[in-house]
Amino acid sequence: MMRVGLLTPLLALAFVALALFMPATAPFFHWLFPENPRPVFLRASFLELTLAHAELVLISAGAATAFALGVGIFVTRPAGREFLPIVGALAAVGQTFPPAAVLALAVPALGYGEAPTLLALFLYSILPILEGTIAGLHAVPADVREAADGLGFSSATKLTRIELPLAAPYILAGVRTSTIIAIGTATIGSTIGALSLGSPIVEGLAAENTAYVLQGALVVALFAILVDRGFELLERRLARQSRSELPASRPRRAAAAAAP
Amino acid sequence: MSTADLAATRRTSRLALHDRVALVLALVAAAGSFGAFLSIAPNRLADGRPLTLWNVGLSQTAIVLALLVLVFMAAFIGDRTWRSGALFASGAGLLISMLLIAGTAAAAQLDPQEPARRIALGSAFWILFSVGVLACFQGLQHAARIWKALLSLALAAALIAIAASGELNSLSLAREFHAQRATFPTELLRHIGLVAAAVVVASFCAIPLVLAAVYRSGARSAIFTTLNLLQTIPSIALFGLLIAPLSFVAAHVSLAREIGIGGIGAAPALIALVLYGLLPLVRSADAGLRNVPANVQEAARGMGMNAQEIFWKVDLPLALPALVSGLRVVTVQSIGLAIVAALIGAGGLGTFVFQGIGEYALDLVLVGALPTILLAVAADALFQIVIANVRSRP
Amino acid sequence: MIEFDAVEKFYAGQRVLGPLSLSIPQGALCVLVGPSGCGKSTTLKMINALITPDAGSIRINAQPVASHPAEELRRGIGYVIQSGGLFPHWRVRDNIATVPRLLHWEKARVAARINEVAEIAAIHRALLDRFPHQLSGGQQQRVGVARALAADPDIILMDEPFGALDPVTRAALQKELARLHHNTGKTIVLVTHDMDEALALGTTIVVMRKGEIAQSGTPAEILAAPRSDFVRDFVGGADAAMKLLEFRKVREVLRGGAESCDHSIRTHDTLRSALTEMMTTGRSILTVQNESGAIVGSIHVEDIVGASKR
Repeated sequence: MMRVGLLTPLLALAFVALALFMPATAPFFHWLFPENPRPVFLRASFLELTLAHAELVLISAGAATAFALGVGIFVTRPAGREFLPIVGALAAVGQTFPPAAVLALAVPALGYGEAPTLLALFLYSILPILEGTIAGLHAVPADVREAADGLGFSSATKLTRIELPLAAPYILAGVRTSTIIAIGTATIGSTIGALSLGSPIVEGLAAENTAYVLQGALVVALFAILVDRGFELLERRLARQSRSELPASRPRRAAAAAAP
Repeated sequence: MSTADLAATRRTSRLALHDRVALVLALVAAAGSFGAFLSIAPNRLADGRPLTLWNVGLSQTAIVLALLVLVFMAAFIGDRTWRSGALFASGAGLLISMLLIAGTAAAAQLDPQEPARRIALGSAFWILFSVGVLACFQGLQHAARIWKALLSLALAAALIAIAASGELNSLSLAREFHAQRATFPTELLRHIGLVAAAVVVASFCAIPLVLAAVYRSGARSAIFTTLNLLQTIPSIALFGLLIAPLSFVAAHVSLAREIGIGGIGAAPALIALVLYGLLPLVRSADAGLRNVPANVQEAARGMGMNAQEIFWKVDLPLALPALVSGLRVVTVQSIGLAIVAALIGAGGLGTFVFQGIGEYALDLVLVGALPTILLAVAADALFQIVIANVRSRP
Repeated sequence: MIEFDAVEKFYAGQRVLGPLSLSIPQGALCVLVGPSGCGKSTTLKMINALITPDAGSIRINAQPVASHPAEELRRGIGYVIQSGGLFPHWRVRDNIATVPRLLHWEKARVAARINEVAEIAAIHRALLDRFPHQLSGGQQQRVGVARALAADPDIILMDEPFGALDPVTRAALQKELARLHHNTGKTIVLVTHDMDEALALGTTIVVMRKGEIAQSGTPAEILAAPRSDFVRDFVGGADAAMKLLEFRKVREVLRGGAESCDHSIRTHDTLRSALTEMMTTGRSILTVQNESGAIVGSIHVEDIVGASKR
């Protein structure tokens, strides 16, 4: 049985309600900000914003996953092992770059709008997935590899049937990190002209309309949390299927002393 | 023919590829050098006209070409020491010549008739510069740690010296930087101050959470669920969510207003950075404390240490590397998030980024973004050195 | 003298130990031996209050264990565990000094004591300034023993101390432990699952099974008269006969009269070495000399065979 709890469905309900029926909250925001003549963001519907936001994240995360998987597999094969140090260093140093700075750097390259946002999201998303792929493929125990060789697996079937399934939890963890960062960065993407759930926030900040800020912030926060919960469920299902888990911490303290 | 002769012929007749990374770098650089080396615009807002490397000058092109050929040839050198040396030398040469060529070329393009002319760095510059960095990395990969440190420091010093000498002053980035010289130190200090305050406050807030997570098994899952939830919320949204309650507080509590708490400014930024910082800190400290080997703890109890003695003498020292790596994550993360804080009026280097985006002044964006990246990379490197030292010490 | 009086321990409502009564005399090297899960480690850890009994009482020199604060009690009892359990962030020197420092000894006294116990545990001076991870498994275990000896406790508890070592190192350390016990006269309680280790070291052996004592006694008693099939199997079936010869002396089956023979053996040698001597020389009778070398009789192969029967 998968434990979902009560929190996630409640948050999901709140998210759907807000995304679909934000204009209905006008009386509430009017009460909250009585001096505000336009208490609800109406330039685009929140459903539209959510879809635009999701599209940015899906395209960039999808492309980044494909690219990172390819590179990660290449540098862990004998043919590409030479590239492992430089690729690993790039992935590690690249992740210390602030996402907002990467987004800002995309502007000189591609101007304003969706394109630079997509580029920044794509470039940044590669790094955690690449790191996860490399770590996951390295974590495949040597004896398992050897057993696969001994049983006569070709290197391609060994990769698809043994190595990738065993590395899957690490790869998924990388995709999760990437996606959450991408959702956050896509929000900031509104400052360079991309339409996303960040648009009400950025416009609200510029026009000192706190109601807009609140609406955008609430919906995008719920969106990010729900996506993260989704990954959590996916990770748990994967762990149960493959009976392998991310390296957890050691057995509980005191367990050794209590053993009879 | 003797065996020695045979070996010699084999050595000369068979050209073997020894470093495909160098080969790829040389090819990428060659392809990239076709793009715009500089871009020249009549003013800050207009689009630039590209200036390629060979437009800059024949001798400059020849120097870059020679260096790229050296990178290319390095790929075929069999001896590792020589190959690494050639790669590092060509990489360093590329970095230094890039700066010098860009600086002098920009100076030559200045026009007294057109005082607003902007000479910006183009894609060819950035690609060749990146290839230079990667060639240096590849060249230093097998070097002893001391050589790595010395050569990188020497190279960094050389690049900084070139920048400081005024050689680059004609580039629009330098001019933009010069234009902001009055506010830059203030914003830089404000950025660092915000990050430092966030790290310190988050560390103190993390202590009770860590103790509860490690020693009260009931609280563990609730703490991690909450912190993970906070970490998931996009930064700008968390800043936004704090505005309303804080302006409410500022409006109704005069004391809060007097000490500078308001919906906009440093207060929401600091609170948000602290909230973000908690998860990495608590997670790494928790892992560090829980990974203290069970038999070591049992030995400590068996020796007659009490709970406090076990914590201070055994658990804490053994968890120290994990604690420092938590600080590393939080510091690097906060440096990046503090950019976004500029949107809610907290100042910092993000001010330049968003002002530049708003005014379509791309060099101004770089004035904010490049120092932030350098700050993050430097903080990361510093913490790595500290972690390596705590590891090797008792 | 350590006494267990009707001690019981429950986990999740199930009795996992006892009722167990046992007394370990002063100066004994008592080995608790049995298969995993038999309760031997639990029994050991009750002596220094790492585990508290749910019923019954434990007394050390007539003082109930529960009457002392646990930490104070433990500082007075040496404790050695499997693979050392050394503090990885402290040098060997500091590991050894743990308990003396907990007891706030003076610096000079601590320093002197470190050198003393290092010598007793055969730890080379040069190792004192190393970190545990720079030592071999055997060296780590010596440090574990030195650390337990540091505050000169009367009682030393050892929980599978040699379990993680290779056979050669284990044999060497066993020999040193026997020597140390002989020289210091301390009471040592040692837990192992290895019957050979128990026979090699123990002056008293307590065979445990499913939380109860299956049999206790001297090695010879247990080998000669196993009280149940479990003990018989555990001490090694047919092989036990050979082991028993280790604990019997020539003088026990000595025949009077001086049958002269060119091969001789002494009264205090074991029957096993007598048998070995016969096999290597091809004789079935050996002359027996006493300690001063005078011939006191002879030993016959059929008497040795008889002695190995239980």
